[in-house]
Amino acid sequence: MRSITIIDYGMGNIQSLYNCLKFLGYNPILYSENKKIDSNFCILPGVGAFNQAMKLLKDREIINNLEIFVKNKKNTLLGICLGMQLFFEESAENSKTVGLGLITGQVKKLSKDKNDILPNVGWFETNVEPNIAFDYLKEFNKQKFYYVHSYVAEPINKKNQIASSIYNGKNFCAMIVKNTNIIGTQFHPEKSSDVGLNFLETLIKNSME
Amino acid sequence: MRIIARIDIKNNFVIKGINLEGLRKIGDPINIAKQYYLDGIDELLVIDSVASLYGRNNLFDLIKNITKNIFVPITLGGGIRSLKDIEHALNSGADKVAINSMALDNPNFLNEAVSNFGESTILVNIEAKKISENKWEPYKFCGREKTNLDLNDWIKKIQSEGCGEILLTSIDNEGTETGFDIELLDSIEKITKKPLIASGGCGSLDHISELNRRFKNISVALASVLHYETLTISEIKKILS
Repeated sequence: MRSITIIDYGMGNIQSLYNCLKFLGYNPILYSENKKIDSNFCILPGVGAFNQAMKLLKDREIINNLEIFVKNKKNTLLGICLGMQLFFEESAENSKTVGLGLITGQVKKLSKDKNDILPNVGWFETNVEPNIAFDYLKEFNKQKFYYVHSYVAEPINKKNQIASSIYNGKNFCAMIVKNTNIIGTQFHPEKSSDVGLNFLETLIKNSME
Repeated sequence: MRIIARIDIKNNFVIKGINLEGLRKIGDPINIAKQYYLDGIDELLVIDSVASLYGRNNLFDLIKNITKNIFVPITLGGGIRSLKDIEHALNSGADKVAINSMALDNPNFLNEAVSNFGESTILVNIEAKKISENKWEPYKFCGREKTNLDLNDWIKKIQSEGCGEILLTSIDNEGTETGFDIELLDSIEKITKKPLIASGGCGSLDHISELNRRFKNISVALASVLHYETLTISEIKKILS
């Protein structure tokens, strides 16, 4: 059974991700302290505030281990929702907070209009246009995934963005990649029923080949 | 529009009442939740209808079994009265919690909950009853206790304290299958700044499409029509697509 590391740093619900990986036949390992990440696939989940998440990652000395992990190109790092947003340089959420800086760009509020309803919650069609490294994800183009978020990542280099969805008529970034081994989704594959399960399985299989 | 199955539970059985009273046994929650998931439901809402009345939390073990093989969002409500309860609910596999009575006892609890777990985790459950022309009141303990608050004031209050979604149940229409409480929804539409889930009264496909037409950004929680198999999830999805 292939093991998959879930970073458990105290932000949000990891039980549903754990159940999901177990259901797919993997061996999920919860990782919460300063040590080497001991599998080739690692997931950074997260629900909640950006600044609190960065503080917890710092306090638990996880950041350095994530950096070591992604330097090895055989390893794949997947960020989900807030986990994906943490890959960026900084976020405007609460007070400006510095992120992991794996990808250039910022995290901003989805809308500044007070009449707009946030968070953006629901199942939204997602346009997926992957690059060569993640070409196998093109089968998920136009599929509906479950989203719940008020903030959104804005990569400076558009090559880092491989999917988008729509909020109030405007496109927002739904999936980002960097190199061949960093990927992040704004949606929750672990909560997106069969499509989400298939997405996770496809991603894990192809990254571990 | 999200289609959410509402599963009210009492003593480990799915139950259904009319106007939140006169409860009838429907069946086993694990099987029922699984079936709705396989049929393509968008989300599940599981509420222990007596937990907050008796101050007990027996739903966690049950939710553990329900969530194991269900991969859509699951909200747990009933008897959530502390940060520890929320943590327990999430550790049992729930993605969000629905809070009613505790928010009414101490609105600041919502603020605490949101700063600890993020607003997307916190759903406020409002059970509203009409008390006079154009006036509704939020009730506690599944419609059993008055609060003497005005519904509009209460919605403003919870939005300022913090929450990710609002579940609004019409006590007057609940379980009647006569249609959603459009009058109630109209009265709060302007002031509502959070995703709204309408609950209570659905009896036909027309009721759902009417709601979808009239309100922006609304979702529905369905119980009777699914429990009694009046409607199937696939035919609901079809009329919405």
